[in-house]
Amino acid sequence: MKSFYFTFLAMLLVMAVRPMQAQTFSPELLTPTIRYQKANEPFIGVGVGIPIRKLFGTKKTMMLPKPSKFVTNESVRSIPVTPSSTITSNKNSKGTNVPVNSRDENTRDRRLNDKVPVLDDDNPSKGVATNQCYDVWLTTFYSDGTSDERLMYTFCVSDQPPTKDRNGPSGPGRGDTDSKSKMERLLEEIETNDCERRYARLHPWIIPLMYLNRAQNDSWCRQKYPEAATQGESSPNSMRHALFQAQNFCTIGESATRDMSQRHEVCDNVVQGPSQAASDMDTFNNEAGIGIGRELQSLGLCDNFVAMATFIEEAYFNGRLRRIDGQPTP
Amino acid sequence: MKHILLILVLTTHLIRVTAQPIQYRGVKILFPSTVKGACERNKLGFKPPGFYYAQLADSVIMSLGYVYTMADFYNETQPASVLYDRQLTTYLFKFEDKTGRFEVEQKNLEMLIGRRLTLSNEEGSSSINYTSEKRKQMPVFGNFRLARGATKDGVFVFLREVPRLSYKQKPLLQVFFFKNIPPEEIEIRVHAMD
Repeated sequence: MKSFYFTFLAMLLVMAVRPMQAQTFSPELLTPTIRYQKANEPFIGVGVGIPIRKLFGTKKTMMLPKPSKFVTNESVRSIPVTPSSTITSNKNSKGTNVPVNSRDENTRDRRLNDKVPVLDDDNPSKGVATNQCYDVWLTTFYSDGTSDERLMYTFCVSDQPPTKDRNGPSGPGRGDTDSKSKMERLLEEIETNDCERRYARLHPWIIPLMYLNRAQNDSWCRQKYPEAATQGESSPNSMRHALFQAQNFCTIGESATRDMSQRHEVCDNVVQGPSQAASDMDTFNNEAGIGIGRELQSLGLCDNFVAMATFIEEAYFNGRLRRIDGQPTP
Repeated sequence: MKHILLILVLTTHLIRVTAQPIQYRGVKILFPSTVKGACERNKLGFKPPGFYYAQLADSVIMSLGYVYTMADFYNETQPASVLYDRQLTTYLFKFEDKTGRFEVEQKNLEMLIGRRLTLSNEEGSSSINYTSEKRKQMPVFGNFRLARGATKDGVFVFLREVPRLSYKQKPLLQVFFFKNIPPEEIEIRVHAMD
């Protein structure tokens, strides 16, 4: 009987302590504290320290993965693998013209300006060599100062869709079928429609550049304006479109940017967006983005993504972009 | 008899500490879950490419945040089911109309989670870097109030004003419920400009 009373009193004590915890916590202890692992130090983690710490002197922790190095920059260069090419010169990051046919020196920088050939819509293959192949190399720079380079794919200029038959008829160049399928995968990943693909197959050098622009654009939207990416009709979505066009203007040139953006909105006389209003909004903001790209180029700021994002954000807050209802942003 | 009483007391004790799902403005905050689960529970609407939402009373819009990849939002006409299997990380409540109710909403949330929220002044994550003279002319220059806390079950709760860089923007409120998301990503999200 004695032990029964003792147990009962112990239980009452436990019950009594619990409401006391709720009264004695201090709000500043609620703030999560983050500690990252230093070299040769056991991982501590993140924790919300009440009320267990107060009662028992321990800290409730939630494990965090060790942060790894992150990507700071990426660049692409294409190396021709056959002697002929339609592009005779290009500018590197220092603004110096470099020959693209020389395998050793052709640092084909992302900033192509307007060196891409202009296409005639009635004769889309005019001025484009169809027997030229390129190796596309992606260089990734990391926060710890290291970098690595990998071959993304080899592409050949062609106006035909890729064939899946490895031994069947295919264009010139080594690894042609494989390279085309990789190029097509990139095209699928950036959700291009048939009209854009027809254009991109004739201008394959724009694909990795647009792909990287997309990645950079997505990363910026994720950090600054998440709704710009998730909701096509939201006001911040105008920035996503304008920024992408400005990026493209600075990397693949005005004519290719305008061609691709027009084909993205209207393909074979069919409006591609969810509604005419959405398409009108996108068209207006795309054109505004091209205008901003032109301003950036004239100021020599095409290489500066922060400047580009600032221009776009200022355009948004100053009403240079349009919402779905046709009114100025924001 | 002694043992029965002991079991009874222990059972009562355990029931008291069992996690209770939070219900905020009629929406059940449940983790872990997928987009599909949340859509079915709350009968959410959809706007492409990836905006799952519900229009609630008092001009409040609830939307979902989830783990996504770069290619998920390229197709601006894709159907709602494309992203159904994504893992849910966030319930976001946007107050589209009423302003100046930060303190009221803070108290509501504190009562809801049974804990106090910590208040701080933060700066929004804008790309614009104005000069100090220009900053003085801006209404609040992207500064905003933020209250943060956590439930017993590890759901992080945030209340904030939306950062503003224009007089045309109203100081609207947003409430976030986060789980299953790295703390650094939470910080990025609550400092975003929309």
